[in-house]
Amino acid sequence: MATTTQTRPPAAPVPSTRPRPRRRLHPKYVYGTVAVVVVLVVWQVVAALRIKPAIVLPGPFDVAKAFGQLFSTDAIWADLATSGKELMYGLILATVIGLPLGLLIGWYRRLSYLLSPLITFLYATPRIALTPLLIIWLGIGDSSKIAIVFLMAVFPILINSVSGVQNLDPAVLRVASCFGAGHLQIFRTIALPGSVPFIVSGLRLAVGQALIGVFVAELSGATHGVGMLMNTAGQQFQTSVVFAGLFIFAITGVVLTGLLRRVEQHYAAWRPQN
Amino acid sequence: MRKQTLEGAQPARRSSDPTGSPPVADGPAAASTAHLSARNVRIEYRAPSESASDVTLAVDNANLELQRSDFVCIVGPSGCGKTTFLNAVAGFLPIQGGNLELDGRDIPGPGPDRAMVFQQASLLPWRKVIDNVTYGLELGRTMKKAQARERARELLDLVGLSGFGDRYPAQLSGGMQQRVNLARALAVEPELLLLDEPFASIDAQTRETMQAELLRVCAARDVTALFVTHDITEAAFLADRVCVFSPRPGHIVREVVVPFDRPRDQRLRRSPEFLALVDEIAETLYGGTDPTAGEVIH
Ligand SMILES: Nc1ncnc2c1ncn2[C@@H]1O[C@H](COP(=O)(O)OP(=O)(O)OP(=O)(O)O)[C@@H](O)[C@H]1O
Ligand SMILES: [Mg+2]
Repeated sequence: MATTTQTRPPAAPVPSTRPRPRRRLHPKYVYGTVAVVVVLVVWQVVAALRIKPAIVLPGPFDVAKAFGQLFSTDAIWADLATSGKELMYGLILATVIGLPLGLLIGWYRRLSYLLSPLITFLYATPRIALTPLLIIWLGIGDSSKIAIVFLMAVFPILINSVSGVQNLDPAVLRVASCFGAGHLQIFRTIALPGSVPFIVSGLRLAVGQALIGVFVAELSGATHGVGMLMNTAGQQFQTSVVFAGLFIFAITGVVLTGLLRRVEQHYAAWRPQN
Repeated sequence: MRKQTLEGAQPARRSSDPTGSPPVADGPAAASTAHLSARNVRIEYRAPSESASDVTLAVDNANLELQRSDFVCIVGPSGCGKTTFLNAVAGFLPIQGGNLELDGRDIPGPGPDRAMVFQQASLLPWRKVIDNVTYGLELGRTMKKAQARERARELLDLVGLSGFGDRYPAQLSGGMQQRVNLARALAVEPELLLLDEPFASIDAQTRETMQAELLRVCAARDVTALFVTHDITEAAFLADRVCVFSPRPGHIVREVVVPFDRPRDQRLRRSPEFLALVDEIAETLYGGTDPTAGEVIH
């Protein structure tokens, strides 16, 4: 068959009747799409069978309709803005604090001795349970909500930055000191670039944690926000609106994680392909 | 032409003092001309507990002298302190006794006058090949970037990797990575090149090519080299002198002079003189308990 002719590179392209497809759909996308479609169909069928009333289990079309209604008013934009602000401020704060602190802890062993009991303690605690404390301390305004998001997001970033630095290849470090590199030079030329993959996966985990933080923060005393919207809708049995809110969270997570995956791939161009 | 040098080569069976006593203990006048001089060097590893029982004596009474442009190989049983000795010369380890001097001065720490090539290529995986080669220059901050790249390109040509500058290390084979490693070490124009089993993880065929290439590169750049290896054939092919280490605590049992002319050809490996020399070194190494072994053969 065609396999026997493949040993030679096709010098002159054989004139074919139709143009060669530029890019074939990767099996990853085919399988993924199939799975999503199957779930949606099963969901719609189950909902249409009305085993449970629509108020308990709305179908995909009900949810789509709820989406349409939500976005027909201006109120949703205030909710999105509020939740978005909490998410972004929390994430940025977590990065600005967690990333340098993690790198320093990874770099200075004594600092890690000093801080690791505290970090282990906080990491092992269900941090979401600190919500009541934060509300007592910071009030029910934006600051306590941002603090919760921050607290959820900072640990994955911190811990990944630490292990990024601690897992540097000692052979590469030795090369640097062999060339007479100073501490700052080693940090800049090896520790930073070498821990990028760890840092980015920390950020990715942080996005998921931060979204949990946003939702929980808005459970108590919020005036706007997608989490609050879901909470109110739930109390009024607007189940399809709850689903719509859930999808907003999910889509945000997927988009942010996808962006970070892009960044990760960009920086990991040097990794062996497997 | 090469043939002539081969035929002309008379394997000298001279060797310095086989008993391991210092071959260069005749005062500072002799030492001052040497590029590297080690006299009665003693190196210990101390466990953090500081108790006397936790001291490992790795090198004891090691004596060695390198003139400029010398190529000296160190062979010895595993764990005898070869890497330790090399690390001390590189400035990574302090010595506990004796003198270790570079151009007549003590070695305070790692410096740009020495470059080390390890067994693992240890390239910076996130840097392209060319940026790996310029790495040492970049740290030294003595050269403009364009100039450094220019030199890196020349070195890549020299090690036979023209056109691979824009690849990432992960896209190269092990042997190619090791050549980049060599180019990186040469880029800083070290006075002394220290190599610790650089070809040990490369397949036999590539290794022979790399050895010839190393000789060519060293001749082209007039490098002084101290080369540690397990492989006696490798040592005999590369070196002007082969130093045989004793089991731990390591000292140099014997220095075998390799008389073959340069440039050396791959065919040298199959010449009877070469094989006889390899045999002799092996005898010293494996039959090393008998101090007269060196004399017995010839
Ligand atoms: N960091 C260390 N701490 C304590 N002892 C060490 C350390 N490194 C090496 N040693 C000991 O010093 C001795 C010499 O080690 P070294 O690595 O120099 O041997 P080597 O000659 O290079 O061996 P090989 O040929 O296997 O590489 C060994 O017995 C080893 O146990
Ligand atoms: Mg070794």
